[in-house]
Amino acid sequence: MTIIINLDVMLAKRKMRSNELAQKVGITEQNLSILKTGKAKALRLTTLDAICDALNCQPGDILEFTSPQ
Amino acid sequence: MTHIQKLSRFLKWVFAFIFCAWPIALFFIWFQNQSDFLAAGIGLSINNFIPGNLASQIVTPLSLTAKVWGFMVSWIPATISMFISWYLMRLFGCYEREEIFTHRSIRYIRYVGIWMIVWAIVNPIYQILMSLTVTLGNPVGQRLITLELGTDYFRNLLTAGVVFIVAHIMQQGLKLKQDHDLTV
Repeated sequence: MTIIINLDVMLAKRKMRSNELAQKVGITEQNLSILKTGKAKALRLTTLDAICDALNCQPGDILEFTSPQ
Repeated sequence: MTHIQKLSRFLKWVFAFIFCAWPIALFFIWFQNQSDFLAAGIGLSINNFIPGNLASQIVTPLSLTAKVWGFMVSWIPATISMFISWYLMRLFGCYEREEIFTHRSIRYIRYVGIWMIVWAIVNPIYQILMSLTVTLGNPVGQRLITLELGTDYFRNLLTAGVVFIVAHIMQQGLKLKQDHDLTV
């Protein structure tokens, strides 16, 4: 996967815990863990919207594309 | 326990019974002391293993050698049926544990389809071998080799193909489920 999820970095910057974010976004901690560990195959725009809202950031702060080479 | 689990458990034991009963039934059918080919105490007879209308062509009682050969040739459909029963038993075991859309359960469905196709391929060879075995004791000129590819044969082949396609569709369903599970 060449899309990296920088959720841990943003959580650290905002000094927020995972369970708190999951609660604010309205997803389970298990799903948040899937997202954080990069196992997710798709991310709903509504989820991304809620995460950006909760962390007060831009989608680009969470998602990062890296070339496979 | 849900209705599906109860039904699956029942079917699992049914197929386990069929799996275990095959060797005993085969031995009983071929080596019991029967005066004609139709009489058998358990509802099965040698006739079940003789293809087509060949039973009427057997003019002499089967010798012990013919019975031994017949017994061995009967292992061809019996082995395939045992494999199918085994995989169906495992499949319903999965359903009993509520493993419906899993790689394992889909693999078992595919194996059932494969063995059904194997049976369709092997069936003509079996018919030839069995007809030769049971008519070898006939007088010269009345010994036969038969091969019958009737509607039953093509129906079995079609069923096998359908089972195989169902397994493929379920594989795609599993992929969709996994995609859904990994969508956040």
